[in-house]
Amino acid sequence: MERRTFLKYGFFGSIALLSGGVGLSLQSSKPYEYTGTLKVFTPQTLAVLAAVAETIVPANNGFPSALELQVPEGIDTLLSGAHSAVQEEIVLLLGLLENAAVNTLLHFRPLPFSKMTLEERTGILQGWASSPLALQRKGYKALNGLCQSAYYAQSKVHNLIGYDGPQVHLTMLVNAAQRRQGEP
Amino acid sequence: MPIYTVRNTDPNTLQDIECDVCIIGSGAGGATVAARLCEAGKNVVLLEAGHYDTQADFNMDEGVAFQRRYQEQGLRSSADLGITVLQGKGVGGSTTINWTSCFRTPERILDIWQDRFGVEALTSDVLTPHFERVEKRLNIQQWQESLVNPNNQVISNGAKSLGWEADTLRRNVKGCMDSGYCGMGCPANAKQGMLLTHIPDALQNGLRLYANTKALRLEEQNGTISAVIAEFGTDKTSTFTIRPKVVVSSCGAINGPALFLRSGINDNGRVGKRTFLHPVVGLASLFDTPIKGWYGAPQSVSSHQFIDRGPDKVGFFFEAAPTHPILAATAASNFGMAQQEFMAQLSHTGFLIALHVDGVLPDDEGGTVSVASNGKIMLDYPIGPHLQESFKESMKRGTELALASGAKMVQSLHFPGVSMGSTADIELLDDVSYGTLHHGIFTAHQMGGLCMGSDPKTSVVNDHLQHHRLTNLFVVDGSVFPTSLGVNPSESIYGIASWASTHIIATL
Repeated sequence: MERRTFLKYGFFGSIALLSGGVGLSLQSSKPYEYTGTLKVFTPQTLAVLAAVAETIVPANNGFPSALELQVPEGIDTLLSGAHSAVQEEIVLLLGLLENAAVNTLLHFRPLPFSKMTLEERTGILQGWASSPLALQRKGYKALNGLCQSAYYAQSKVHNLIGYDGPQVHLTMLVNAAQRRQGEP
Repeated sequence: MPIYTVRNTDPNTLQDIECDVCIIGSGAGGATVAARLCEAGKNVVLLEAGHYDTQADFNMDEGVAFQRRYQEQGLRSSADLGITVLQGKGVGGSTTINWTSCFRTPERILDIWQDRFGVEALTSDVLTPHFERVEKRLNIQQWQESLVNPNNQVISNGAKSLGWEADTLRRNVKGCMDSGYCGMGCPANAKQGMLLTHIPDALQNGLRLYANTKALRLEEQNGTISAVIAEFGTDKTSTFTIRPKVVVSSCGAINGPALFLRSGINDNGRVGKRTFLHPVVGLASLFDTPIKGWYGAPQSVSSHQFIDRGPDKVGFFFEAAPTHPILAATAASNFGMAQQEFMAQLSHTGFLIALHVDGVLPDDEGGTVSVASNGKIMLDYPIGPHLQESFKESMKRGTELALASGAKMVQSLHFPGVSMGSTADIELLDDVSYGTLHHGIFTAHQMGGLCMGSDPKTSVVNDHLQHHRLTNLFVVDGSVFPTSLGVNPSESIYGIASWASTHIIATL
């Protein structure tokens, strides 16, 4: 761990980050059956990300869950072009979230994140989002941003939010262009 | 004369190059300098790290656009993730994906640069002919009030109701079809960015344009830059060397300082310092009537009512932001069912943004760009008490503005968001925290980092944009600004680049 990182997060935060690194190696996560070939994550790390994604975008009121839209695989693809430092930080973060010992200490829940109920996972992420620890708020922002991006990029949900989408707009553009040229 | 561009090539065919000028970065600064130098008959090579995408590639898919045409696949942010950085990548730079808002450099900012930083050369009189020239070439004109979309009408209607200043702004478009996709690359070829203006002008006059080509470092010999080491593609093996008489760094306020630092050029420790962002906070406003903020000109109205808040306060100005799904979903801080409920009302939601004028207060040093040992570019930007105060005030005034325009509910981008249905609720904003990771903060205007000034101890380039020691090295982009501007920066960069070109030509 770089000195810069230690100074930024302080003693507790750095210990937490380090424990994230070993967290995944000491426990089993709830499996996630992914499609395709992984570029950044291991199957175990992806399983943690899947639990996060399903918490951030659950199946609700007509919205398909993040898992139905392969959001974890989409994030794997998205991050494949990112700097290796970014990839490593996300992996560490997922390890921290999954670490049962950390969850016991911080959240009184002696379970890996991926094995918690949706309600428990929601509580953990809410705690991170409004945490006094900048490290946890940062972690929430990173994971929430990735999941929201990979989810709302998909045209399958556009009708649920009233977004007409590129295809409709393309037709409008062509019509407008024809009108301007005086063509039928 | 044949038009010479390199987009995809066999790396083995790349050879070392000699030229008059090597420009690094094809955005507002680099493309403008390229056009002027090629017009003057100079032998110019232009390097662009991103793709050479054109209208045929602009398929209006937001996910694709972020990945291909934004820095770091749209994931660029401050090191602590507190600030989301929207910055273009590709031929045309940010002018390919900006929202086309154009302003000349404000007089009061030029005065500050002169008084505090010794920038004597840049005056309104000097810049006016250059602004006039780019305004003509880029068709910069006032947007018609009748074409203002509902998202921007939130500002005009609210300001009218409150008696605040607001006006339609000027845009660099020709034949705009109101598609609203400016931020993804104009699908109608209406945006008169660098891609359709100064780049083709330069190509017609002999420019050699290398896309997908990143400048790795500058090499120094005997007090001048002797070579630019560049890399084509992404396989990290195809490096080649450009040996120019003059080098122009135009790769922006984050990548520019990083290039200098990678090259070991940091004589006085000022490289990467005084980085300014116009930090943005936002508000989501819910209306009974459809807003569909993804349609129409993304920005067409601005209000500078609070641009000058007195000597100890950070000023701000209001504009609108489009509401395409990814942008909206990542701007909102919620998750789970609350976020889905928010997104389900997106077609009736307007986005108001407040941009804060950083760097103007005497003690405001802004942020710092550095390069980590693993090569990652880092942006550290502390949000101090002055900015926190200004964030709170702009959210309060923005809520007032949106409510005055008829919003039935206004929500801040805190987690959880503060919801306000009447002016009496605005005081709820007193009970929440402001600053890094307490709410969404964004930037689409990166400035400073290689600041100009008269004192070699405190600045990187002089007021002719020439490096204080390395006389064949110029910096021509927003990174030379000693403060932020208080207006969208693209036209300032066009104008200053046009002016700087005459000095670059004079050195050849």
